[in-house]
Amino acid sequence: MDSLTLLVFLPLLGALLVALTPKSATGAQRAITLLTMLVTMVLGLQVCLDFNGASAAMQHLVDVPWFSLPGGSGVDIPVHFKLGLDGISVLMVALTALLGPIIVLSTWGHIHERVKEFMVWLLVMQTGMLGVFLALDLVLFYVFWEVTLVPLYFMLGIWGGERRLYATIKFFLYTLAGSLVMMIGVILLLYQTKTADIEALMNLAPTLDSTRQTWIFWSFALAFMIKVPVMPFHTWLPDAHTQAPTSGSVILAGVLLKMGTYGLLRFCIGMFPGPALDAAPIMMVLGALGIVYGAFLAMAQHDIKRLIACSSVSHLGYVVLGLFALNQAGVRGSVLQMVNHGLSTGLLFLLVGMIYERRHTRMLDQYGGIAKVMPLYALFFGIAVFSSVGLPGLNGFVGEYMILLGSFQASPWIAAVSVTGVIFGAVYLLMATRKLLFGPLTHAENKGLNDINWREAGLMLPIVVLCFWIGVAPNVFLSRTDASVDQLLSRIDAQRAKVALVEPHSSVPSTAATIRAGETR
Amino acid sequence: MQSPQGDYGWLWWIPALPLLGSAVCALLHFLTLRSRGVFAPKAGGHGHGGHGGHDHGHGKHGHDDHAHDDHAHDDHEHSVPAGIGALAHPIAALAMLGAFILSILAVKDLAAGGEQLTSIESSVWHWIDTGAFNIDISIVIDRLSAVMVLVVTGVGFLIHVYAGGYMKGDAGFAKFFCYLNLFVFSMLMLILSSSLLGLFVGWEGVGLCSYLLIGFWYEKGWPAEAGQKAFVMNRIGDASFLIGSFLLVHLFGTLDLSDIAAAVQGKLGEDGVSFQLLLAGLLLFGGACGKSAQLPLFTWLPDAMAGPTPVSALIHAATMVTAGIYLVVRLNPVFAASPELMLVIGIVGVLTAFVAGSTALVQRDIKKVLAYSTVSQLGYMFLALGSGAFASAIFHLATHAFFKALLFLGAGSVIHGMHHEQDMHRMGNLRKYMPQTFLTFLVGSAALSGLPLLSGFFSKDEILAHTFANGGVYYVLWGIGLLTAMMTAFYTWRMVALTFFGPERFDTKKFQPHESPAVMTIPLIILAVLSVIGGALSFPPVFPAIFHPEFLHHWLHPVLQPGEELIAARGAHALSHTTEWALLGLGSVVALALAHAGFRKHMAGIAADEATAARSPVRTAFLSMAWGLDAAYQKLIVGPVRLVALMISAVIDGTFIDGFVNGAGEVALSFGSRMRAMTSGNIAAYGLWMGAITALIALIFVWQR
Amino acid sequence: MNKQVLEQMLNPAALAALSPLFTLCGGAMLLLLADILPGLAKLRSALFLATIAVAGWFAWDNLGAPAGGHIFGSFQHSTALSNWTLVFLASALIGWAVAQCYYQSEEANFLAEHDVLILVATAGMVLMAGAGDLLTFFVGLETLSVPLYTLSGFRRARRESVEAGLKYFVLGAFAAGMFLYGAALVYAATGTITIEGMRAAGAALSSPLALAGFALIAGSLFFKISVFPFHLWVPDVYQGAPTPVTAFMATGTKAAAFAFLLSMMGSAGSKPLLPESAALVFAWIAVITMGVGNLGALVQSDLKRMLAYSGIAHAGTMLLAIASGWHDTQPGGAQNAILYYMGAYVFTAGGAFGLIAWLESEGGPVTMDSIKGLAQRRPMIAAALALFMLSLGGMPPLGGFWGKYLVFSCAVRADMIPLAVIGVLMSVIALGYYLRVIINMYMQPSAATSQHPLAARKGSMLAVGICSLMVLVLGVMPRWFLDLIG
Repeated sequence: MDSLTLLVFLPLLGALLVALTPKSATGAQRAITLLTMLVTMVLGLQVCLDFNGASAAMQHLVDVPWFSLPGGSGVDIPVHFKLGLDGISVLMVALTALLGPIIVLSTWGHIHERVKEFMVWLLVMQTGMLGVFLALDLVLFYVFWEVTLVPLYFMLGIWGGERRLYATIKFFLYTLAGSLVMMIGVILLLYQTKTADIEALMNLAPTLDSTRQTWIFWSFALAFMIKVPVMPFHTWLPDAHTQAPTSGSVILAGVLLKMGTYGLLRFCIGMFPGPALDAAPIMMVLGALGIVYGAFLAMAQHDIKRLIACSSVSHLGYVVLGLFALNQAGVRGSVLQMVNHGLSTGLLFLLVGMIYERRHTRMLDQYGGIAKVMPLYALFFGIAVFSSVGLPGLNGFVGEYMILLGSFQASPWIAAVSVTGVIFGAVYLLMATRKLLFGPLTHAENKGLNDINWREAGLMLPIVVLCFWIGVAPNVFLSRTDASVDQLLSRIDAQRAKVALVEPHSSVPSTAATIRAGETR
Repeated sequence: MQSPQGDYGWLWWIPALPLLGSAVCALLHFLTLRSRGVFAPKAGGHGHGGHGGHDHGHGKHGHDDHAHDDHAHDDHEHSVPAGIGALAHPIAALAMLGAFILSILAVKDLAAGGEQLTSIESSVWHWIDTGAFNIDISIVIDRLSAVMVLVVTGVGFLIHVYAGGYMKGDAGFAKFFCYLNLFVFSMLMLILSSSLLGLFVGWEGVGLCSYLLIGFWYEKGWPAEAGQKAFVMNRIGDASFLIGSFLLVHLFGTLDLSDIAAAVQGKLGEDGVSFQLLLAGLLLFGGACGKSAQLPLFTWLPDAMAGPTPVSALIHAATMVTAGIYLVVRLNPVFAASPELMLVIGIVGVLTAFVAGSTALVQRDIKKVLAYSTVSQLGYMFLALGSGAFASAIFHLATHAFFKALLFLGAGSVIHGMHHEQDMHRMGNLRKYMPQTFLTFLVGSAALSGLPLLSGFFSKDEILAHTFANGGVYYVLWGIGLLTAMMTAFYTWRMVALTFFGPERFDTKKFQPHESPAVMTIPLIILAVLSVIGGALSFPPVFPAIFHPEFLHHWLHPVLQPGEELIAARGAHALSHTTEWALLGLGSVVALALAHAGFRKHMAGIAADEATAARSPVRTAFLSMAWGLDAAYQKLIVGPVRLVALMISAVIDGTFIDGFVNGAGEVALSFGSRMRAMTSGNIAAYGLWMGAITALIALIFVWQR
Repeated sequence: MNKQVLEQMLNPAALAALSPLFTLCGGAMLLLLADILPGLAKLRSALFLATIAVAGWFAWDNLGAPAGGHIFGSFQHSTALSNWTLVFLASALIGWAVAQCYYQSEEANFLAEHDVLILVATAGMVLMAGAGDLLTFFVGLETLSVPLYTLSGFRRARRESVEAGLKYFVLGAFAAGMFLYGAALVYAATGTITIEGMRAAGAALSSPLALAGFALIAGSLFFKISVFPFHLWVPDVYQGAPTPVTAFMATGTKAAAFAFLLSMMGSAGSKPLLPESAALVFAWIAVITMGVGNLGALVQSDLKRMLAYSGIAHAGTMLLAIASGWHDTQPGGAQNAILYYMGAYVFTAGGAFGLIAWLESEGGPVTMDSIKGLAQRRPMIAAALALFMLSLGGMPPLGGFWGKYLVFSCAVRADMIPLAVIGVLMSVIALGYYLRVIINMYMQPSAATSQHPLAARKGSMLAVGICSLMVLVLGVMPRWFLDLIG
């Protein structure tokens, strides 16, 4: 059995195993889940290490005919079970695989009832997410894309906080609305091109007539923008994050949101260079808006978890901004930033979960001076905070800098606005840190708090290591994405050239130094 | 620019040593905590988290200067045995010593190379490959960074030694040295890295460390706030720094500092470049304003006095705050390219100097006096930069590092001896109790106030002279500068008088101030010596040749050349010897006069202060709160930002967007109930519907045919 | 009767084509016989299952057989017909299985009649689906309807049941009348009642008379498939009728009506009988129906009633495929889409109703409250119900999804993209109430209102088991059924 298929379905297998265990055997369920996730991780990282970054081609290909859909005038559209890895998905797959065991370990602390169900959903989720990143058939991708909704829906709804039902329904319907519009887009695209193969579509989609392309582009973009979420489609996120159990939040922040940005890159930009170029200014503005808006939103929060959720809106604004800068610095930065956000925000949610398990409140005013009783915790928290503040030497900075640089080359003014995010980010995160860790230990309950234990330290350690690693030697990671990103951008450049022929006034910037590519149109 | 002598891989050890030291100290810190049972599972309720002593009652105290002395006070009441953590001091200090020695070796090599050896460079670290261009970092020592590295490691080492005495018995002894070493590492990255982004690593790193060190006694609450304020204020500068760097990338396609400096002249010809350069320079200067506490971003520095005193010495006198000056000198052609920009820098500098200086006149907290004086002196340095006297700026930077560090440490020693009393109105006659501190402090004050023939005298005079030389609008700047110099002399000696002379204004029965241990006084003495002879770095040009007048200027020449050429191209101005002498004379006279005045007025005690306060309370209040800038920021920036945040989260997000989202759901539900109403159970109605619609369909069919 | 008629009826092809129909009728008669003959009563189940099995086998056997008219074209055979037949049989089987030991007390004595009625109704469905002319269809329609009226009122003891039967009967009669009148008008306009005949009629088809006729016919069909505003009877009747019957009605009847509607649309190649202007009319009716159904379902607390409304919405969705039939570039696209949709729907809705029937044995109607915490009490049942709900909501990888996908691709191919978008957004509303079911089962504390413990129901268990399996199979291996459709 080829590695990718195994990688995708191994968690599902684990889920079946867990499902077969008796309800009371929570120990066994946890063990099986952890084991499955570990194996999946090893497998996933293995695949990603084997990946040759120098080539833009799909690697580890799996291609099995699945069935065929009617494609109009008697033509059949073959649908394949096709998986593959390229520079755009490799980091995402690695991240997903890596977070799996960490999330399982984190559940030790906060999932105590209905363990079995949770583990099942956790594993199903893993399959869904890996599928999304690996699928190379549009229909298959769509199936995985929607499959990921259900597990999180249950995680939120069953193990969530006090307003969990509202949050889970909101999350589900909100994202579904986007996905279904995308489905129409998928149908239309398939009908027009008579193929569902993503690689083929990369070449065929740009040949469609431009208005139709634009429509399909936006139908996809909407779904992805909701998932990311791009302001103003973000309001489901704070609720979902706040209500979700720690592990749910980690999945959400760590991987699920990246499905949106991944989609924007792979489909919206990858398949529709023309519309992508036209949309770039709008998207960049939305990105910049998200950065600032999210930051302000975060400043107003008293609930630490909600605050971090809002910070996600801000951080993902960077990613969108960089993607639609449509130049090397921007896109590379975004690809890296997807990972960075997954790590640092994931870490933050883990930490918040740990303190919540001890004190059962998320309200900042219930804390203060924790650093005194939980110094190790404080250390981890500090690292997490400064990694997402974007302190040089930690991962966040590299991504942010590249994104801002790229967006500056595309449009200085938007970049200038976005840079303020660097300030605001510091404002709300340090404010939270101060209220949580520093100041006098006023609340008696907090005096008795235990510092993090070995399990907790252990599950956070890999993330911390990566934070530093990416911060100091980002090229190790960037180099794997180069070829694919460059290929994508070369298509964009070709499009730019085409446009330039039509309207000779507009300059034809090359990716090397794209000055205000956004502005020319 | 690979050096002829090949690769100096070992240069990496200069920053690496402190980093290592910091790591070890961190480990030691956690070991100490472990031995104190912090990690032992707590029974809940009252755990013995370290020692709870730190936190009684600090919460209720607000952020005012006089409330906090007593907290600091009982900090030492609860002195804790550092245990294994005690090792942190020697380790950290040794790391610094090592760095210092390595730096000396490096600088020796560089000096040996003579003029043609521009720099020695270590192996390159390929950091970020942005695709468009690569960001590589290597450790470079050229003649500028040579000066900086010696100051940083040298003074830094002394401060480390001193800190061992000062922090003795503090709960976070090891942690403190961890931060301190980490800080030095960042500072060294800042001054040694070849790339602007590498510089930025250090730039942000020192920001982080100042955040940590200012908030070192976080249990008190307000130090944490001060740290946060410092970091955020710096971030404002950093944001503009970042854009500046983007512009440089856009202009030069690289971030390598030396390449940029070399490329400026060639670029100037192209159209639009000069403006973009001006913009870039302005933005970078914005960053400098944050780090070097210039208007309008200086308000964080006085608050930063919340940190332990050695920190104030290290960060806020000797090193970090000079980063801005270093940046400008490093990229001098970028700034020199546009006279407007130079003027802006000069004005900002001199105004900062004046505002801060005037504020220092009325402070009661000894550390605040020094803090504002620091801001004011930094203003001087920027004035120098603004008038194109890059070398003079570095000169003053160095001398200031000596005497201001000395003063801070001296103040620390005083505070230490006074059991954490910082209010000068509760001191007096300390020369009797702590003679060494007194003498060294005297030297420092003399240097700061620019009494003739001490280091401060020469550096300050050189700056004023250059400003004067520029002529035109610069005469005004010179005037304000001179005024500031007078104020400096005045408040310095007021400080001396209040602290060391007059009657004891504290209860001698309660406690006897004591001289600090040798570990603290020896660094003081060394620094005192440096403060005296520091002027030798650059005697005025009018001095006979045996003194090597303007030595520093010649030493830095290779670095400053591009910038100075640009300035020279706009017409050079030199001062005649007579004017030089005249200015020197004037400088010494006003310094002496006001030093005398300040001393005389206050040696009797606090009567004079009270008199002034009584005579013009408004002015005193206005000055003591730094021209009300902080309050203004609170009102005009912090307030509105908070408001907007609330608006956005409550109104736009909560009501508008979410209202729309939830509204959709409610609309659906209400429609649903209407639908329900349709199925009333009345069959006739059903039939009617069916018939009607069928008829309608029929009509449409017929009509559409 | 004369020789010609005989050879029309007795030629092997015709026999083969009609074999499922004959089997069903034969089975029904045997059942009746067995019921009255002493000692054979116990054969009831065996006979019923045998009938279904044999009929199913015949239908399967016919899959490949060449399409064509038999008995003077009054009965049209095609692969689609065989597929439809299989769908009907499945629906009958589910309905029957659910019915086993559903009825208490005296009704239980009439189970034989109950089974007979189901068989006859199924035969009616087959006749409708295969009808080659309007009269045959009408015969089929009545053969289906009359048993259904009876079945709806089968629980004579319960007022609602009887009321349901009556309502259904009255309105059904009205619809039937509409159909007859329409047929008459068409005949008057074209001089023929066979579908081929009408196709050949040409210009006459667009005469006002014919158009009015078609409108009436369409109306009566809309009544059977229950789209707006012909849906009003559905909630009352579905809720009132015994749940097994509802399961049968909700799936089979719809299927049959759609089958005929499709054959009036004309299968691959041939152009639809109905005028082109119908496309837009149908499309709008479809979209409105989706809205009405989903919004209506959103506010229901009784699960049966909720499923009734959701059924309306599904009918609307399928009608969208019909509406796109005029401009669909894919020959037989609508046919395939609706077959798949219906195929999935039979199992999902059937299964759901089956579960409800089962849960009713806890006493009282199954409501949003009564299922609270079901996941704790009855994990398997809850899981199955959740599965059906997600499939009805069209979540991949479940049968419902592909149905939805195919239907909307019809609309897209026919260039009705805006309508398609409105349609999908409607199904967002649908998820709103499907999820509510899951929420109450999984995410709410147990209500524990059950007076009686849940009875063990072999029949229901079988039905639900099959249904869940099929829902998964249709979802994961769509090829299997798509190939069947051909």
